[in-house]
Amino acid sequence: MQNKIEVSNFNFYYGAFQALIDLNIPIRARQITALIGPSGCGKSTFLRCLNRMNDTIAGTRAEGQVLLDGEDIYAPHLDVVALRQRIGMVFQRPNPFPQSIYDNVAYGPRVLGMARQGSLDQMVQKSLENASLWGEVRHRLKDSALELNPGQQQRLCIARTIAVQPEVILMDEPCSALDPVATLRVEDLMRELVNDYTIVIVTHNMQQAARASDWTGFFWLGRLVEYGRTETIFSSPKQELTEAYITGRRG
Amino acid sequence: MGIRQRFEQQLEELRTDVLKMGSMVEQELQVAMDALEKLDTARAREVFSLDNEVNLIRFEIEEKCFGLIVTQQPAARDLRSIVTVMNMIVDLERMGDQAKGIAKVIPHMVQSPDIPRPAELSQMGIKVGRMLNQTMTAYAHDNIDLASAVARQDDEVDALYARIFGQIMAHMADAKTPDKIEATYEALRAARELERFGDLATNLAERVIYMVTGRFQEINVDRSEAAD
Repeated sequence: MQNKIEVSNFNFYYGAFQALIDLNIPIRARQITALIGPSGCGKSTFLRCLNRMNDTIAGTRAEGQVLLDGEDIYAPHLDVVALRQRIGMVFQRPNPFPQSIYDNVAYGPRVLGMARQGSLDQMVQKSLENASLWGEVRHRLKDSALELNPGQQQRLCIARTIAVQPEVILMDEPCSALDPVATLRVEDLMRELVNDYTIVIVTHNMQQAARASDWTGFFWLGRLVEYGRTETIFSSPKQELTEAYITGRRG
Repeated sequence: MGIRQRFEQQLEELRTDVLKMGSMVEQELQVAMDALEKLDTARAREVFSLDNEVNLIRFEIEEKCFGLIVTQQPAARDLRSIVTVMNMIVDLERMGDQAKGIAKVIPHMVQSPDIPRPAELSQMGIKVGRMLNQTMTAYAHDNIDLASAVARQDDEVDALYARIFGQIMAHMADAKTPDKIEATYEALRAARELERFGDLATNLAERVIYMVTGRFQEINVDRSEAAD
């Protein structure tokens, strides 16, 4: 199985504090990788390292390698904007722009000069279709995105992310603000999207990680304790710490 | 008490229930073997009521397992131990049926006292009873060495069965009338029940190994082929 991203000997610091310690983790292409672990274990920091979103925080420093299709994303002179087009992010709380539904999805392609108006309509429709939202919003594309319910808003954010045709989608607890039905819709959507994209999701919901992912990495105090097939991690983990965490005895 | 502590306590209770069911099946076997030894039909009837109790406790345990899965969403070792219990109680219930099968043979034997009763029958009964007992001990203490040792004993049971099979076949060949042949078959049936009992004890031992290690491992792949 091909690796989309390969992380080797990766360390990350917030000033003097080392948040990530000697990480080695393969992210498989067109698979869903879930990152689990207690709050503060470094999983969200790691997610943000994958598209260099931590660069904007003063005093941070990264060491080691993160290869995207064999290219080091921390190489000097790398175009970070282009990187973030290839590796998009969906956040914990739905954060649509205070604009129309249409403009939310069209925003990225417009800024990146990806499409003219005619094809932009098609791009918006395709992105909304791929985010399983088209049927619900096709007659109200000019309405404000803020009028959508939270589950729809999150799917809109996913549509906005995929509108710029990324290769990898990072999701930071994308369902934590959603009810169970909206959560399942996002999980179903992830399953469809993974045919075309590589997905990495941070979640605190063990059942979600077990249900939705193909691979699971367990983080503890900045280290990757265990990584493997999701079924194996949740039925027969090798490390006692993983066992204790997923059975609710530590964390 | 915290939710997790309560869960751990429930898992322990589940283990106690399975150990109780194991000892009930062991007792059922002992009574069946005793009835067979003495050709005692009243004693054979005791096996039937013991088997009803075994069937009842099986459903009680199964219901507890479903409850724990639904309310606790167990993972890893917790999940394995519950799934193991759900499999073990099915095998234990079948073993109870096997003991009942032996009891069913007894009235036929009483009617035809010249049916051969090979000495190996009681040896088999002792061996498979010991296998069950040791498996339950292995389960109680997560002892995979003991579980592996239990499974290996199944070869000896199969060898005894093969000997009984040979004797009974010879006896059938000598039997002149269909009645006598049919009666002779009853002794073979008892041996067959014991042989299956041993197989299922081996299954239980494999379940214990899976519960502890998380690996499926067939310990005694040649079992039950001795006389099939």
